[in-house]
Amino acid sequence: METVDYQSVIPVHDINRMPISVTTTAVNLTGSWRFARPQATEKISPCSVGCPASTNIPRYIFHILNGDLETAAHTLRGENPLPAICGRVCPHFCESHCNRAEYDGSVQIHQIERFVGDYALNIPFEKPERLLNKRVAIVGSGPAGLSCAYFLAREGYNVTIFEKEPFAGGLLLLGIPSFRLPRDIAKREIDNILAFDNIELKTSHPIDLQQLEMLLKDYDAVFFAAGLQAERVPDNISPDNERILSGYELLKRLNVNETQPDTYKGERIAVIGGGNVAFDVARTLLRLGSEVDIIYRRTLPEAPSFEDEKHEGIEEGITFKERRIITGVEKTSRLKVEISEVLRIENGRAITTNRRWYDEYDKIVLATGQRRAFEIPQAENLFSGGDYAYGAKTVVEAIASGKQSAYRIMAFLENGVEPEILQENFFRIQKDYDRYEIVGFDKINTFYFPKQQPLEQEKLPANTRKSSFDEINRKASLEQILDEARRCFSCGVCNLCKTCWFVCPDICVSVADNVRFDYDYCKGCALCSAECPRGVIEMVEDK
Amino acid sequence: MKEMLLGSEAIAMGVKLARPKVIPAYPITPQTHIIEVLSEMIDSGELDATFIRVESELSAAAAALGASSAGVRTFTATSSHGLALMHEILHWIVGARLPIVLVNANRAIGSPWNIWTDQSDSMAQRDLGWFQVYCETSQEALDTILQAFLVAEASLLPFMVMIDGFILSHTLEELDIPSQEDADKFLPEYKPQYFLDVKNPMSFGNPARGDIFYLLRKDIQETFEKSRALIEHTHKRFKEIFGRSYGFTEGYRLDDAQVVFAVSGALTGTVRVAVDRLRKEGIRAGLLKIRYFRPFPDWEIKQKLSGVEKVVALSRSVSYGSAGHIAQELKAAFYNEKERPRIYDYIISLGGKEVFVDDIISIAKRTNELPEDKIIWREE
Repeated sequence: METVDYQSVIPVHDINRMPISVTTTAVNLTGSWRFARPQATEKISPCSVGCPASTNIPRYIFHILNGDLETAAHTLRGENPLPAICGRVCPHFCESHCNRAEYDGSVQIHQIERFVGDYALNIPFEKPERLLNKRVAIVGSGPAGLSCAYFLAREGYNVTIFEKEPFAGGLLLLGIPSFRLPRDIAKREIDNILAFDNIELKTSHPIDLQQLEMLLKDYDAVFFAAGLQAERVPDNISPDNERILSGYELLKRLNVNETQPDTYKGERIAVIGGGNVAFDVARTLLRLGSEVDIIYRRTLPEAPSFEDEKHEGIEEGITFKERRIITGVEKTSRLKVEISEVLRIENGRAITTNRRWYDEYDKIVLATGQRRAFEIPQAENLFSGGDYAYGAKTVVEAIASGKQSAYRIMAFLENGVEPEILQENFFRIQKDYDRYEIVGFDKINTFYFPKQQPLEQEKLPANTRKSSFDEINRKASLEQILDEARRCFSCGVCNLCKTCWFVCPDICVSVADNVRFDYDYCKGCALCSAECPRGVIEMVEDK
Repeated sequence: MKEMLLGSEAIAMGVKLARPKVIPAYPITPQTHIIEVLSEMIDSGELDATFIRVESELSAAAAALGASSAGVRTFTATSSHGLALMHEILHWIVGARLPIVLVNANRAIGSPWNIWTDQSDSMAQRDLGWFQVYCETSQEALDTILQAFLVAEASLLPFMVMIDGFILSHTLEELDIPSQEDADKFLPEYKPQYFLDVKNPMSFGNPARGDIFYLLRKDIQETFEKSRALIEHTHKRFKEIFGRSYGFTEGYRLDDAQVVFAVSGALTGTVRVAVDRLRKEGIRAGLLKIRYFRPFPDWEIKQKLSGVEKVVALSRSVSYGSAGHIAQELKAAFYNEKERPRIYDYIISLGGKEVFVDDIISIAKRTNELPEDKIIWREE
């Protein structure tokens, strides 16, 4: 039987007229059609700008989502050596800058930071590659001093820290109650820094002016970050260390448990002030069984304490008396106190109305601020930071000032020549973002981001809290953290999402460790740029 | 093996015997049963193929285009609006020389809505470069599927097989089902020379300049011209293996016929009965069944109708502003001939309008009254 050959109708010589090309089209460099080329440039996220320590938040979130918590920890601690602490006590400036704020609520960066910080507690810092023959003295082991020590030590400088207390940590341990920052967390994180072989800690070693002069001679440079060691007190009341107490001193004593817990049980106590110290000491006393009023000369919204602290404190049962000052104290068996209404504040002084109240308290605690104990001299090799240099600020600002000072000191010790490290990290020291584009919300392609509510901070209930020093803010689970991390737009920071690769009609995008374009064939259609969810890819004119 | 099956099942059976590798399809009345049965066959493992579910006929055609480009035997089925939606891709399949086989269940196209049979849908696609066969019975449809793959794959052009919606698709018929062994003997495995293959890169569907484009289009027409021998060979081979004869057309009682009805599709059966009755009454009636509409077998038609006085072309579609499609083709075929029949352009039915044996008989008796210069429409 006859059979049929395939393509029998089309003679073989006709096959070259099939609508198929057997040669490559590679010779046709379609890139020549282009008048603008895509370019992937890492930009600055607004959260990083908001962070005084310039943490690269999208970058460490990227590592978390990659399942690499260790690299996330290294990235985070590369800018801030105290993330477990900051994740808890920082007022998270980053979150108020977050591009997601106006969209569906800021990414809860502090919860993510705390999670990574806690993970990093078990990871020792890398030792410096080499040790330098330079010695730096640091006065004070609070967040500024520790941060400065860390940034110097990892570059190989020899650091000696002088601390007047018997232990390192400064305000981290003395000024922040354990229900906001558990002691063991703070201690472990501080100990990680102190584990550098080239950091020496001298405790119970206060430095006065005279000794400071000696340090300036003995060391190549000195960083002074002793904080604000003197009390600012109202004109009409002074501490007697029995019933009228310094808030800062009391807080220190309570935080290191130098006082019997029962001392304040059942007492009625007035705390004067509206800052974090006022709320911290009030909330601590409340937990020791006292009944606490905060008396403040301005209104609650004007009080400089963190908003969370105010809300939590009032929730726990503190009575906040706003626009009041104490105008008289009579010391009888109890303290008879005259309280006046404040009309307005003029040049820092309260003008009162005629309204007066009389009340009785067992103790008055003055939390009206701190000031410098003494002025340091001018010297070429003397640098200062932390609250001493900038007034009472936040932990992260102290860390940032320690970091900046470390880089200034390094520049000074290299005879004004910027070491390489400085060039790499220039924006850390001067916050000079002019050369960088900060990615705004308008650059975010929200198509790729369905709205999703932020992770809510789980807290201990108020009635449990007021009789316990347990940490209030509960730690989120890994799943919750991953969900929250996925909300990050990763503004201006490529997280290898491959959207560009997916949408490129010319197969000109490759994504491995970074995004690359094949400019021989890229026609400049700009799809990658238009679709980039995070504003990394931009079109630049081809010349 | 004899079996009672619906027309749609008969087609599914034919497709199964052809062993396609990919079936992308979208349901539409009255074709749905075909792909339903096929999807069940694939699901049960009876047919080793991939069924691609799509969201429209446009995608079905595009997926078929892709599958066939990858060098595998590909089948799809549709009807009416679905075929119209495929239109752009149907062109592309021809230009790309892809031997896809498509079954179209003939159905009217709206507006207004109508799901019943006529040939408007496929006649509107007659110029694309697809083979077109209109089937009279389900057995013919089943057999044509096998022939279609053979012809398509040997000529690298796609093949459209038409059945009348409902009249064939939804009625039972006693069928002779070929064995798989015979089917395999008839239709060898499809092994194209050129197909998408990462190991042998080639580009498909690239741009072509006018001079090359012109030649490629000329090739399509030449293939159609040369396909006559291939199709005749296919019919011969089919008869050898399965015992059933097919041609481009079929003449019925044409000897000495004075009035011949030219018709395609299932209506042929009705006309067959009418011709028999007319003959009994002494009227010399005959029938020309036009099976292949593309290529249009004008050589065979001219030969079969030689000496016939009157030909009534029964169309079930209209080229509006011109003529019924069958009359158009017949007139064109005879234009250069010295001896030619009178050709009457009768639009016998649209949108499933009933046609009874008596209707045909009455037309045969009234041929003297029929106008030659315009379309003839039924009065009731």
